Amino acid sequence: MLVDYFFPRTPVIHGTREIFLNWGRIAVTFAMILGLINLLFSNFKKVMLQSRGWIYNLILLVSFAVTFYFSVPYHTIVKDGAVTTLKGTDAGTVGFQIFMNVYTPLSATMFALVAFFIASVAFRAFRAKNIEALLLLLSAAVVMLGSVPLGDAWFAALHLDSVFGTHNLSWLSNFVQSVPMSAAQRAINLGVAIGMVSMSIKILGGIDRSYFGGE
Amino acid sequence: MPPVLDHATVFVAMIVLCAIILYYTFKTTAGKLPKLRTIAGLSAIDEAIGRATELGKPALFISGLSDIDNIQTLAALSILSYVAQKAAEYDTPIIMPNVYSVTMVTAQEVVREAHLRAGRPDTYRPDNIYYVSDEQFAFVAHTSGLMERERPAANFYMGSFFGESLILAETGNATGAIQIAGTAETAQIPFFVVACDYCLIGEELYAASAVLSQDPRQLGSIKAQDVVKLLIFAVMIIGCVSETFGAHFLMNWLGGS
Repeated sequence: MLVDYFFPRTPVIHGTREIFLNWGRIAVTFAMILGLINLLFSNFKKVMLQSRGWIYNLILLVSFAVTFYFSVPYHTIVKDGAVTTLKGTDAGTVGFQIFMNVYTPLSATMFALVAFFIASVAFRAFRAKNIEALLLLLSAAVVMLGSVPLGDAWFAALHLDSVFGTHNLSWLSNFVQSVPMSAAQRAINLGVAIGMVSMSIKILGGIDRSYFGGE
Repeated sequence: MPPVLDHATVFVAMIVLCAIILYYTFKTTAGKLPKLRTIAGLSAIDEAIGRATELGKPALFISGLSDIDNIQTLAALSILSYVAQKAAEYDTPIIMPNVYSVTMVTAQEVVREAHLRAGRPDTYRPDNIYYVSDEQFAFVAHTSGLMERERPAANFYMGSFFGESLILAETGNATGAIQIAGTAETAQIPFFVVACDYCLIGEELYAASAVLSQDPRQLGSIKAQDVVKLLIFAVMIIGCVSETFGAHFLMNWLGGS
C-alpha cells in the first residue's frame, strides 16, 4: 500500500495492491457471515437460558429478522403496468422506510443530547476563575456574538462601527477562529502526525508490543 | 492524480523522519534516559484505580470508536495494558464495551496478559470486555446506560472519538466518576478538557506507552519527535523569511501554490 502511494504509476505495484485489496474484501465477506451466525447463536442461547437482560436479546433477534426480511431480498413492484425490481434498501421499499423512520430518528435523538450537554459544559468551563479562564470566556463571547446577526447589530447600535469601521464583531470572530485557533490546532496536529509516525515505526519494528499485552 | 512532486516530497520527508526516530530509538540506553515532563493524565491513572478500589466500584475503559487499524486504538490498548495491570493488582474489575469485534478480542488478550503479569489470572473476567455495536449512537446509548446503572468510579476514554465524546464525558461527570481522557482528534479535545478531570492532548496519547513502560528505546523515540519538531520549526522560519523576501524555492519544492 505504502509503495503504491509513492509510486502510483507503476502497473506491477498497483496490480499487486489490487490483488491484496481483493483478498481483503473476500476475507471480510466471509468474516461477516461468520459474525452474523455467531451473533444469532449467542443471542438465541441467551434467550433460551433466560440470562440477565434476555429481553434485549429477543428484541435484537426480532429486529434482525424483520429488517433482514424487508431489506435483503429484491422486491418487484408493479405500478401502472410497469414492473420495477428494487433492492431491499432502495427508496420506496419497507427496508428503506425502516431505516429512515426507525434508525435515523433514534440516532438523531441520541445526537441531539449533545446540545444540552454543551450548555452544561459551557456553564462549567466559562467560570472566570483565573486569567486563562477569563480569556476563554471573552473569546467564547466574541465568537458566539460574532456568529449571529445580533452581535453586529449591537455593535452598530452602540455606534462602535463609526470608530472601528468594518472591524466589527463578526470580523473579530473570524479572526479568532482563523488565526489563534487555527495556529493552536495546527500545532496539535503537527505533534499528532509526528507521534503517529513514531508509534507506527515502534509497532512495525516490534519495539512497542504493549498493544497486544506484551511488555 | 496528485502531482508526483508531492509524493516525492512526502517520500523524502518520511525517510528523514524515520531515520531520526530510529536513530534516537536505538541510541538511547538505560543509563542515559531523556528527561520527560510529567503527564498529569498518566500520573492520575493510579489515583483513579485506587479510588475505584476504595469505593468498591468497577473502572470503565473505552478504546475509542475506531477499529484496530487506527493507530489511536493501538495507543489506547497500550494504556489499557497498564490500567488493567493496576486494576488486577487492586482486584478492581474493568468493564470495557467495544465498538468493533477485533478490538474486543485484542482487548481481552491485553487484559488477560495484564492479569497474568499482576499474578492474578483467577480474577480475569473475559465477559467484562464485550462487543456492543459498531453504530455510533447505539454504542453511546449502551455506554451511557451502563454508567448510570453500574456507576463506575473511574472512566477512561482513550483513542479516537467523534460526536459522542461529550455525551460520554458528561454522563460520566454526572455520575461523579474520576475521568481521564486522551485523543488525537483535534475537534474533540476541547470537550474532553472541560468535561474530564485529566486529558491527554494529541501526541501525549502516543507518548503514553513509552512513559508508562519507561522502556529506554521507546523514550528515545519521544526525544526523536522533539528533534523532528525542531526541524519543522526551522523549515517554517526559513519559509517565512524566504517568502517575505520573494524567494519561493521552499514553497515550490514543497508543492505549495
